[in-house]
Amino acid sequence: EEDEDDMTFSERIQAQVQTATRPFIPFAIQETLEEEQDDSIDEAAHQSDGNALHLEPRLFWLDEYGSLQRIEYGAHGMGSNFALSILDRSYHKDLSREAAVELIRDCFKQLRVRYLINNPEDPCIKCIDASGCRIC
Amino acid sequence: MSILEYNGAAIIAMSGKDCVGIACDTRLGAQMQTVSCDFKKVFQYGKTFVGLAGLATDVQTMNNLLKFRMNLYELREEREMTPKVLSNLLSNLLYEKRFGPYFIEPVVAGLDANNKPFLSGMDLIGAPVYTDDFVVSGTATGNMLGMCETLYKKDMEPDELFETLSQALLASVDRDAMSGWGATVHIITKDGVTSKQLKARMD
Repeated sequence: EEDEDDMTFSERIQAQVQTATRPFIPFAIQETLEEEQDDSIDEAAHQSDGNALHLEPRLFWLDEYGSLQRIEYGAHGMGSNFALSILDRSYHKDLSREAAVELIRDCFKQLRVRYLINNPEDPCIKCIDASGCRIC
Repeated sequence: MSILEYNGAAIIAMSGKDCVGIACDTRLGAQMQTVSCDFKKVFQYGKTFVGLAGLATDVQTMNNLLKFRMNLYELREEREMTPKVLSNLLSNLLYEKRFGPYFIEPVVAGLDANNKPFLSGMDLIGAPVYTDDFVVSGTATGNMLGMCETLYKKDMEPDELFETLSQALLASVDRDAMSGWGATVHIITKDGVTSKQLKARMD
């Protein structure tokens, strides 16, 4: 039953985001890539040209009551305290993509050691950047 | 645990000589876990400040509601909302939800038309109290009332008010698990507003 709630909610959000951003994002990225002649992600994010899209990563924490807060890193759920401890120790602002993914893997490793509920499978980690979302 | 204590908060407003100050902590928690240390609970509407303690989602919702109503008022009346009017509006908004309330306990602080300090506090269903010395709200009210009662003096100048307000807040939140993790103080005088971040214990 809870699974159904998760599915309905996330599908609804997906649909709403697509409707809201459909005209904007592909056009903006296309514009950026055309100007840059080089479709590397870092270039697109750091352009200071007035016409170009200035993309910066944003992370938000949202709870079941609807409180919204911008954060640098965070965790939800039953093992969140363990994950947060790992992140508190190792997170810093200038993490590279690979280091960040490794840090998330470390959080799950810690859960396997210290927490009752854990999955022996590898976690599914996704990365969102200027060119979209993909599995890392 | 009460729903008003879920996220944690501490707010003090205090009056001085032709000035008023309001301070808040900046912790956002989910019961015992801390989520963020820059969740401010004091908002400015024109020359009035409102501190909102309680459930974070209602703090954010009420902030948006108040901003909306203030803007509408200014468009219609072509003048700024005075603190007393804002306090009354807030009280009404809360009582409208008498049987399904917003879980917030606000504090209103500002300077009225004659630049005299205005302070008011209310409960979650809008019952107001108007005082001339200080008002407190949040999870550490016992601590804060004690500190204010001890440190408060009538007619403090802005600098002294800043010190008093800061010390009262810091000492109170240091003994409360649910609030702290940073603090902000605003001092309002007829010449403007000074806002400062306090260096607080981050635990």
